[in-house]
Amino acid sequence: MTQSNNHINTKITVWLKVLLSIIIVYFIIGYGNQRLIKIPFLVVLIATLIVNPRSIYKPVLWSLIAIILGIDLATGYFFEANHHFLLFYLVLVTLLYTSIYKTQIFLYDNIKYLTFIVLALSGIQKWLSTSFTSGDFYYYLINTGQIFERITPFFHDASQTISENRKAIGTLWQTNPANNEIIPLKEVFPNTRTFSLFLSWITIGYELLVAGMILIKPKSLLTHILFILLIIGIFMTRMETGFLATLSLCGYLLTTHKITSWVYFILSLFFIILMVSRIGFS
Amino acid sequence: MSLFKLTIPILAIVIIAIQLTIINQHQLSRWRGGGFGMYAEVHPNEFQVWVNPSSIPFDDLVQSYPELKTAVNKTKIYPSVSNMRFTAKLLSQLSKSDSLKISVWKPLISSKDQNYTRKLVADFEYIKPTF
Repeated sequence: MTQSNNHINTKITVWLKVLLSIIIVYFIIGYGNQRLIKIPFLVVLIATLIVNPRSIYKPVLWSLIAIILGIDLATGYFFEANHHFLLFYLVLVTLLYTSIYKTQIFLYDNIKYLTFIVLALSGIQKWLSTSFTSGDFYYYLINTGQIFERITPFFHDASQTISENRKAIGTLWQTNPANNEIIPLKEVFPNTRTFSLFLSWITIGYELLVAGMILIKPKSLLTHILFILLIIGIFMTRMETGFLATLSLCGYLLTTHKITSWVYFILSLFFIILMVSRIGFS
Repeated sequence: MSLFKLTIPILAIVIIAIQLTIINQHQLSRWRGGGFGMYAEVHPNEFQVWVNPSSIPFDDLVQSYPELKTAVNKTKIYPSVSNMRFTAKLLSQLSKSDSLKISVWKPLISSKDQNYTRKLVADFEYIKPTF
């Protein structure tokens, strides 16, 4: 029992440190608006960390972080990225964990439900979007080279087709939209439409599947294999580094297997480094 | 687990419900508002803002004035009446125009017909107050 408690405590310590790392990098690279108001809170935050490194176990540190994240939400609620909201929720949970509840099951269950909500809503929002379920959205991304850039070079003239589509759209944009002009789009490879439609429903189904498994079987090895594949899959299509770092961190806490723990841990750090390097979207 | 311990997930659900309501009623982009709707539709960065009269050098003004660029980006994300009014008023001041109309258009793609066009999301007519 003592050994497993130590293992859990070590895991939570690592989790707190990685969460703090994501937040510090996020603050540095995405300082955002309301800079003057944030300065005193950031000064106290950094001073707290330097003077007392064990402050990651104390609510004061997480209160300061929640205030800084909250300032951005209060002043630009409709313009902050989704991972800002997710980080805010994780920080609030951590604040409650370090102040009131202090049990690892509280932390675990809250992260489980938050991860489920994020993945489930990602799937549901796509299901609610007619441009997504019709395949039109993926069709557009593929034919304008915004997705699968590494695969389309295998198709003859793909890059030229993408370039022609982009040029045609650019030319159209010079004209008044009220003219309701319609331009043709060329397909990068045969049956792009069928592929787009198929991929759309696979995306919805897979996201909802992983969401469901996180909710019902959060400790299952299969759940985390599927979740890791989802994270890697998202990365291959779009480099949403901030969001993927946060998702990997959630997976790290939820899994009980050593290998998947290590995979999530390394993925978190990998995405954090990409954030620092300003590669991708953070 | 008692409901109090699930305050934060419940908060997330409330925020999502708010976002879905605003999407339906005020054309907020699914990409924003904490609803986790990224990649469900075209990103608002790919929307087009069109200004009448065409004599206004809109593109040049957006490049020259960061506050206008920010206002235009916000209008694309959330083309509410207040955001459009703010952008139109700012553009009127910068272009010294007494009246103008801004409209937000989004890409409309048909994979079935293999074509691309633009669809109106919202528009706003601004007339400079004379008092």
